[in-house]
Amino acid sequence: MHLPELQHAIATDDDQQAYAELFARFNPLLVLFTQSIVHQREVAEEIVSDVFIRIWQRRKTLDQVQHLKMYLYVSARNYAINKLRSKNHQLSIKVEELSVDLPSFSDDPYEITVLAETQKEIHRAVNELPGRCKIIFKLVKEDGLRQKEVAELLQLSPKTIENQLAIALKKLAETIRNVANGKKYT
Amino acid sequence: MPERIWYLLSIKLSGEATQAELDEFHLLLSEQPEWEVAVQQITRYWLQPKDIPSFSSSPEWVHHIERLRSAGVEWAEPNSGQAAIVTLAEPGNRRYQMKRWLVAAAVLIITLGTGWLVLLQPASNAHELMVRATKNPNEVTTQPASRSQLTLPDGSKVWLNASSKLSYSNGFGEENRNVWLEGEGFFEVFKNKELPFIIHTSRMNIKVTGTVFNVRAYPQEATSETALIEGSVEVALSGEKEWKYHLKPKQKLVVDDHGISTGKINMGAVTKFAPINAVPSYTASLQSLSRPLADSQVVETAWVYNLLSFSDESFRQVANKMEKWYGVTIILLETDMENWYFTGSFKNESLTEALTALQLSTAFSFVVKEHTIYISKPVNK
Repeated sequence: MHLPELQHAIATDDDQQAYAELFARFNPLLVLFTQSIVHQREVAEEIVSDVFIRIWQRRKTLDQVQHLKMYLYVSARNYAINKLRSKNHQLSIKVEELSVDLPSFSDDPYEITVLAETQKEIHRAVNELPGRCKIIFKLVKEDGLRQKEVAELLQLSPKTIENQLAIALKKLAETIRNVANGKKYT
Repeated sequence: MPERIWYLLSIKLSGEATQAELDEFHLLLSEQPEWEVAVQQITRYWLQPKDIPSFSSSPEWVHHIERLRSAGVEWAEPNSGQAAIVTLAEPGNRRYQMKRWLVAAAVLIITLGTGWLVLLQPASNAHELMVRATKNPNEVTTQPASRSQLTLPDGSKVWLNASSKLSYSNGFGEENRNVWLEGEGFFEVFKNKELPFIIHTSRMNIKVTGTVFNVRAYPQEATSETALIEGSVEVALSGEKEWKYHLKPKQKLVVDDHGISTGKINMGAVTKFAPINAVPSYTASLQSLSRPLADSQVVETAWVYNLLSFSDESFRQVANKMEKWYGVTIILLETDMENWYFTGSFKNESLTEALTALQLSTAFSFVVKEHTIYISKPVNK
């Protein structure tokens, strides 16, 4: 089911299956995102669970949400900031402290062996991007958010997002070129 | 500032480019053919199918529903008792399986102070343990200075502290929910009013329907105790069928060989996930046992930034990260060592400390020469 259909099914039919699907689809991504703010897996899991609890509790009004995906991310962010606020009086995300791990490549040994060396190099290079750069890259690539949405979510200017993404891509391209050059000479 | 071509590539990949921008991109690329391969490879990387689990019976889901219920929401859907463990056994969901098997070097947590680490057993062992938990005899044991977490067939979660043994009966999850514990366990019992969950220990039997609590019952120790975090439990002392105790959250019942006492625990902000006793000491008194609870905030704040962390990664991947982190070269002398998997986080540890910590999970030898570390299998057992 597409997201708007899930949303509608939850709002009008109390569709538990649709709710379960929404959870399955977004929980892993939201936990990673939240973890990048609160830096603790368990805390992130609880925050995201709380977001989903609220979604279900207020499902009757869910149809009024314009953009559910963004709503989930922004809720998770706000819950996370509230959590930090109550702990450290921190009022917003400290972007320089964001850190995230990209999901590793498949553990399946078969896939690992057939996976092209270059692709592995890229993944390694992505994981070595500076924290802020990496989370922006991840939110656009893995989470499929638009650049403007990432700007809103991280409370950064759209220009910063543009720059950080361009920097990331340039670094990856350079990595690839170095790998290719390295091979020529060996 | 990076060249425009990279900005254009980024909006092309995120699907936000207009036709004019796409044209501009291709024009720029044709002027710089040296980037063509790189752009192809990045595009391929970007378009890789995303690994999003579509099942709804993951341990996360089961746990979420439990939290939903404790938030007062009625959730009628009967959850299949087998869900969690079936999910865990599917190879495609290995991610869930692995990260749950924690083997923490509790001693190090204390000696390193600000340091924090959790190690994972090698994948093969963890898997074996998992399989063992589904077969007869249904028994899971932990080694000294190690911890494990498992999800029982009914969706309940158990964290086992060091040197502990948990076994459960045939028909668990269907006809009954009886488990036997020697040692210490932290329980998150999946709610099921029809089938009470009963933990049998040498001194007490604990009956619950769905709750979160810790039981410490090492046979070698003079005292046993049940500490309640959430919900309610009923404790019956072995041999004294008439005496039953109903605990309230944040209370604990301590049983020693000389009698019974109840005490209160200052819980602080412990999350219910946190395995609350990190001290594998068998002589821990009442006071020192509750300290890790009260001090959990300290453990939490040790989770500070700039962690060197890896999650279920092969030794080679771990070595790669450590190479970068410590500015060294790490050589694995035997290739099959690359298939050992680790999960962990380090902060202030020196390279030697980190390697020593990894050794707790899997035995290996290492030699440091200049800036190169040679790692081999243990010389002799």
